[in-house]
Amino acid sequence: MIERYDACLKCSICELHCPVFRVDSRFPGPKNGGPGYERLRAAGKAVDESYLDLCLGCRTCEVVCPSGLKPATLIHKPKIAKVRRKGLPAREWLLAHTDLLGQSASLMAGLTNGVLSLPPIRAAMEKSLQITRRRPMPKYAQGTFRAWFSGRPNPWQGKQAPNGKVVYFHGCSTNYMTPDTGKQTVAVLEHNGFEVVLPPQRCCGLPLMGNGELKEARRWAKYNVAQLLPYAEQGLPIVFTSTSCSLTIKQEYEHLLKVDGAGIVGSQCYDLFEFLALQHDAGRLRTDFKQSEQELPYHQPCHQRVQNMGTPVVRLLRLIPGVNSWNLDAGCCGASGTHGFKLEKYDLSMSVGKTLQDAILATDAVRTVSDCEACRWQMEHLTARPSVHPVTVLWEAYGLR
Amino acid sequence: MANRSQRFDVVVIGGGLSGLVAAAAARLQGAEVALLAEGRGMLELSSGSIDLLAATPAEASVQHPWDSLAELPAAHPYGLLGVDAVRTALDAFQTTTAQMGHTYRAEPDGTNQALVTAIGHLRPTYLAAPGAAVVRAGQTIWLAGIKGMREFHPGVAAAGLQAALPGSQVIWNLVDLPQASAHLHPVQLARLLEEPAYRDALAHSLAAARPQGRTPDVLLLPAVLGLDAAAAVRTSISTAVGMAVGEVSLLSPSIPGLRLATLWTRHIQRLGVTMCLGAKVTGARCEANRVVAVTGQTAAGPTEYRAGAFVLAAGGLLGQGLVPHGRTVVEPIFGLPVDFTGEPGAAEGALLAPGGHKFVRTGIPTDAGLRPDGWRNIHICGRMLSGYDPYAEGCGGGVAVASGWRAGSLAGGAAL
Repeated sequence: MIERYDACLKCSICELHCPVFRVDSRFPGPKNGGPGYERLRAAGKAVDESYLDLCLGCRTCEVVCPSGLKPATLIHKPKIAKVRRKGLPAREWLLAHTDLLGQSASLMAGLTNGVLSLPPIRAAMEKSLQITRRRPMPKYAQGTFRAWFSGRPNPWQGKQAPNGKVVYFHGCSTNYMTPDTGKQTVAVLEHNGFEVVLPPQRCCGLPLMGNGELKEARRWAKYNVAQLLPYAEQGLPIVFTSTSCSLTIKQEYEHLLKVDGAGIVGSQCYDLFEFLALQHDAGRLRTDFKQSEQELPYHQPCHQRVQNMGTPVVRLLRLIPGVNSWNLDAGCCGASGTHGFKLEKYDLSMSVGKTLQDAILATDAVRTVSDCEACRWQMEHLTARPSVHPVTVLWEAYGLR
Repeated sequence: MANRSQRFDVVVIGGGLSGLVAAAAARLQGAEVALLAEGRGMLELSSGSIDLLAATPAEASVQHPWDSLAELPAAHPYGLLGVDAVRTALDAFQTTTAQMGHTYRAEPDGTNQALVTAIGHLRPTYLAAPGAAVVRAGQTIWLAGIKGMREFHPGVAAAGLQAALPGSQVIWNLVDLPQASAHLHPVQLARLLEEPAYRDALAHSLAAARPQGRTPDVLLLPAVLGLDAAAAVRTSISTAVGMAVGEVSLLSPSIPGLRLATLWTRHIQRLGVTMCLGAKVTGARCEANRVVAVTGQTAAGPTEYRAGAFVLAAGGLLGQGLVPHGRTVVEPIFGLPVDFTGEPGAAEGALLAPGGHKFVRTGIPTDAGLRPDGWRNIHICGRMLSGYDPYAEGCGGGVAVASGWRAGSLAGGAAL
């Protein structure tokens, strides 16, 4: 897809909102780095692309642009070209293989977590791999979500679930790090009369794509599309609890990776809360919530926002009597998936996250809510307050604990 | 595939000032509200202050906007709304922003006040944004610029200001600020000045550069004094120099405009409005003279937003709520009738023609309920309205707030 660049009016609204441009004057910004450089490239001019790598891929520029341009997508192009020429550096390779890491690490989760929290190990990782020691590594869980799911009886065995079947794409972090998110999702869906189907799946490929590696990402995308397509063709909804996975499969499989069948799969994909909100609007969502007095500030993940569907999390959490939830609207958290683990990007990720940090600390909330795992890790790192997936709140309110 | 269908009471299309205000007003009626916006509106390009009325065909320079507003023709948005509705809306705007800790100031006698621009021009406004550079005749005014900053030179502003206020003493100088010589963008300076150390460096440079002799009444600085923490930045600099501090609007993009946009987008979401940023509205489903739903684009395809009432705040020709089509102008979502005043010859010879350009008055005519002819549940507000010229009349902000508040209140009331 050729992204438009000539429609840029140079209004500079993207510069005002870009979380990186605000804090790092080396970054040329979305306006110049995106459509501006693209104009030069189209005219055959050489462009200094050295600082474009500072782009977090948050795509704030793409939602604020009044002319509908996609600066972040244009900025991503030279990174892809560079990786195509030179391949993925060792650190990026490691960080991008969340699936492979998860498989090996979760075999001995306790040991992995222990080793990865040892300061000398982190110092060595920083020295050899340029992975910052200042950011705690996410913890692997004992036992995967998939193992739990296949080891339990299907409550709808031999029966028809009243609201039909839902396909669940859990993603790497739910499987290896926070299987509770998956278990709670299954419980909430079953409570609402859905049967959960769990096809085989691999990493969505976003960490690879974000680091510029499309070839391997395309391989995984083809695998996932092959698994999901039969369900999509039956018209079954496919739900996600990780907004980066959902963005990738809804949109990037078709537009960036150009995988056959991705359009059909994408059109059946829903974020869990998008799906539940639609059920609510159709009168099919149970609202037998227990009263629960709590403030739940919500951080809308950038990869959720760029899907342009609003904030169904806030709509649903506000249905719980006593809950006051609202979107903080305090910009990007700064972590941007694997970005925040890179030594040279750590400071940037923390200064980007400062607006969100201040916004959270200005509330009295004892915990925050977000539907992206990388955002939650960063929010906990920024504020020392726990951050949970919104399905946890719903699961508690339904009394499914 | 139309399998995505969300249900709200009110859907607002457009995220500029009038759309944001409309969403708040509808929500305060108790309605479930969604706001759809393709991108951010023109608010980030505005001064952040709210102009009510600065000139009319009968009066080149309006001193008492409330009196002059009452004299406007019925087809003008203010004429349609009536003075009381305009007052209600501006009061609501002022109260709401004050509750969020941002005090917009009006003159107690309701007259216009003078804002200093980057070329030292005096620009009339009604509600001055917090910390905006408001000056009065006879004051001693100190203009300070930051060395290396391309957007503002105090010498240029001082020359203009001295000519505009011959009875005032205008002093200017340039101060050093670490890193600023690296041509920082205003938003980068604004963010840096939220760091206490950097803010102290500016306060220190200013204290050293303080003019000798009579203490100035006010220090004017370029409008880069912080983003979310602007009030704290301004106060600490004001304390350090021992005088009031005002911010001079720069060429767009504008930091005070960004602050106002941020304030209202957060405010409506705190109230519980669903904000769908990036959602371009591509179509509508109508039955007879009622809108049933509009379609917005999401990553997985179109989503339908059903509602009982709709507010259209998609902007004018600049905001692309109205688009040129051949030799005329159309409203692309609903195909509403547009009063097009841009026939060949309608643009005056001079760019800044005193009476303005006729084509600027292009817009959608409505009844007193802000509904286009023949439509029941759609209310128009802001720059889409016909019959006014925000540039020549200095009334863009006031029309946006007043019509947005009215449209949102009507839509919220009708939908419930």
